[in-house]
Amino acid sequence: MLDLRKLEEKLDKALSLETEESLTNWLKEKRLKKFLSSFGEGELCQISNEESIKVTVSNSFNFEIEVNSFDTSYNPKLAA
Amino acid sequence: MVKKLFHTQESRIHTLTEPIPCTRDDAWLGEGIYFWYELFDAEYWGNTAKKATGFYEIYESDIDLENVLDTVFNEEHYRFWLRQLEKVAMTFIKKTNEKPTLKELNDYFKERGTWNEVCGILFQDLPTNDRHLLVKPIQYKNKKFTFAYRKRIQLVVYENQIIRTFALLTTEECINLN
Repeated sequence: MLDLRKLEEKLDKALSLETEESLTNWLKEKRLKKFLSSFGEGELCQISNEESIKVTVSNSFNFEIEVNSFDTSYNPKLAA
Repeated sequence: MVKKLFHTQESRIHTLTEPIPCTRDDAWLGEGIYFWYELFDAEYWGNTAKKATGFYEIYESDIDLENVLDTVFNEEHYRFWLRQLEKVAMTFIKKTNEKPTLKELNDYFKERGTWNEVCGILFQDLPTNDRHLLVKPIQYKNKKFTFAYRKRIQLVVYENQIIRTFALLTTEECINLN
């Protein structure tokens, strides 16, 4: 049977140790990991010089990807 | 208490010997193995979300719910879970100015709160489709409102050892429910 009091104590202890920085970093790391996982599994392939992918941080927590390319038929090159 | 629950997957060449963990970003309670509490919902999920091969499979499992946080039927567990969830969410908002997702909160419980003894969480939402409800919508000022009277219950399992059995129950052809 779960000991709810013990669970709450452990959680309260963890929260009491958190600072603005530690929580912000934890959340950023989670969201960056989620963002990177949206590429799927596999390896990134090299793209030509005319093409570039720029990752921008729109605010502290959200990430966006921008694809710049001179080739209008460009498709992101992910090898799954 | 051991209870029978249901796991839905696309039908593939080989029958599964163990359930497949869900890693989808929209999985409510994070990475884990998801089971439906009722066969009806397992079938509905097969017809709506597991259509890639045209067939889906439902597996049944006996699962030990002893160390599961039951937020559906256990009032003490529900109130506890709600209180912890709102406490952590409020801390995030105060310290980071950002609302966390439910998945992030759950990750926090497990990683920072070290809730290793919680082997799973039983949780519910409401059915998203009212076609199968047996009551008529209520009409009020030219708008129709449906009372979703039945719970749609799922179990997420974090510790595989609570899954006592796992066996194929049925293979079904997907049907269009729209």
